Amino acid sequence: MLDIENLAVSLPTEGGLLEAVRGVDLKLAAGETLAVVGESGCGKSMTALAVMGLLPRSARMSAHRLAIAGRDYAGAKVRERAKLRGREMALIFQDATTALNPTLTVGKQLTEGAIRAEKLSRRAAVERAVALLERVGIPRPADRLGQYPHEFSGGQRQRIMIAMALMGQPRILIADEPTTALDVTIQAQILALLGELQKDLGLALLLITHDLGVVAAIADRVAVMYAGRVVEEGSADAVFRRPGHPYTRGLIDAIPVPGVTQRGTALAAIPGRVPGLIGGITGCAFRARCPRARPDCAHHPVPQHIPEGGRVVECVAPLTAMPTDRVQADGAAP
Amino acid sequence: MTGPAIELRDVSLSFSVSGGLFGRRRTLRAVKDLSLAIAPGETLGLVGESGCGKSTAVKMMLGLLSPDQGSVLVEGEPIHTIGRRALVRTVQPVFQDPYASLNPVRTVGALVEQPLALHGVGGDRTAAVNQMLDQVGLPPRLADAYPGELSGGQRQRVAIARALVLKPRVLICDEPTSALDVSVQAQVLNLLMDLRRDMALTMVFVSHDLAVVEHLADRVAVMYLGEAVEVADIETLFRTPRHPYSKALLASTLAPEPGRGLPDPQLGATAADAFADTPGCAFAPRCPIAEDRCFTEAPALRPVGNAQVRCHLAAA
Repeated sequence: MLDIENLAVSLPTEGGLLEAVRGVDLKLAAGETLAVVGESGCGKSMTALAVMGLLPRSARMSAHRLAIAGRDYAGAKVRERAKLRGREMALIFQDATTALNPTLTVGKQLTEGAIRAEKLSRRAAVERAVALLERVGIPRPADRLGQYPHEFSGGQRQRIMIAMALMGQPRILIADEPTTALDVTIQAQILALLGELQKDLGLALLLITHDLGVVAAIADRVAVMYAGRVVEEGSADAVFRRPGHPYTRGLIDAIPVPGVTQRGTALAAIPGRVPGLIGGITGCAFRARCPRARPDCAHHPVPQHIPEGGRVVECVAPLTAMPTDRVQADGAAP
Repeated sequence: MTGPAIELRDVSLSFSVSGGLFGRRRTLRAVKDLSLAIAPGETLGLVGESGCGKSTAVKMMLGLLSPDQGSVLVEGEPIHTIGRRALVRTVQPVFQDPYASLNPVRTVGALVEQPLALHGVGGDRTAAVNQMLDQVGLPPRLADAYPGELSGGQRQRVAIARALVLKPRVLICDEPTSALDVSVQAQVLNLLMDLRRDMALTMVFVSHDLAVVEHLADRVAVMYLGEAVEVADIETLFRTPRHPYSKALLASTLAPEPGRGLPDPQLGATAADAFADTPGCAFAPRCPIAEDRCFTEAPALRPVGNAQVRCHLAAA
């Protein structure tokens, strides 16, 4: 459904060109959940916005391939991709309070897009909206179409936003931190809903998150991003159980787990901070914080180890023993 | 001193909230009959979801809000009888957002020195500031930097240095790492644990993250809609949670381990309603085991096993 090769996004800033995404490859199949995980500024949200054609106007984007539902849009105008929004692909955000218009009824917001884009009759659009609200777990949906967003709870607004994303019957759903603003008991319910919808509708789900717990709970595959690049990718199981990149290992170890981490002991923090992305980075961006760094980490490009199907680790010295005969040195930034 | 460092005795606080343009004003009970005593040197975790009253409770401990009913005692003295200046030398806060709590036009050095100057602390203030910066793991050269030049983790270190430079005995942390990335969160949590040991601090640690609270608190109070629904030592709460809400919270926490799948907290879809003024248990509308009397009769916090639980049905 989604096939991205060598995606790069840069933003002009006062200090110079900020390289937010530095050559990202991602593939996402129908019915699959791919989580893009990383810390603030790693480029995960920029990647999602680039796919959706929602980058800030000043941003510059390039890609060798940007195929959505079988068609390559790498050379096409943003306007071409914008036509896919709501139809082929839809986005749900972290904060439903700001994503929903407070001055329009929920019914109006749900139906307006479908009426305009699909030339649907008002009645047909309302029928679809009621069915979707029911599907996402809003009780008595027909009675509630006339209500405004503030009349719903936070969890319900998130459900409404999911229903709104599904109004155009998309095949790709991009969820950017969909549960970060929610309480944990509500988060579990919303994630369960996303999982069910994905299964029932065969959606390809691209989940952008910083939360490794969310990733472990629902993702099939994981792409770990650091400083604008995917440094590790693989099945959720493989990445969590046998992380190959020292950054992945560091992220997992930094989180206290009740019953596993010894209480009151020092947590395995990653020293230092994320490097600035202005003016370009050569070699491994993590090397200044990496416990395994060595001189050749500065070499560019960083070699990619491809130990098994679908697994990629971009590191000179990956953690788990990986066959070296399949090392590729084509992880070049553009 | 043998009594609690901080004590809340049956405190309640309501806010009157506008109901919109034509709506009538409604009463929101932010905190209801809350009693907590924190022993010197102890770390109490305060957990619960948004609107549970945990932040209101800590604002009362800081003297930033006064309860409608009940009393707040700091080292045995009613908080309103302690002067502002004496209070801030005993109790200091660290808030969630270091971006909002630091004046952007003052240097790090000036920010950390300010409390010393305001309290007329004599001696070599620059040396005291540098020592404090060192204690929170900031290099001395950052004394001349402005908050805008720092990362989120560094800013939180500055906020901690500012809170501790007057050597208070109690540190109240309200979601101190919630705005930070996990790799940096671990750095700041390690720092707080080191400082707690080195300065013999009493700590109140508010967080929505149960794993973080489990890691560094001795005892925990679980709050729901303004009430403490369970108070227990950490081991007891995490091994045998007794309140259905504590159970749901623990079940909902997602560990970074694949294969566990999604938890089912077994809660109804009803949201917590802070305005509801029901005669029964505040949690009953979402509770998977609620019985008839839970809707008519409010449970009191009572000892169950070695915990305090506010539930009719909890059993040891």
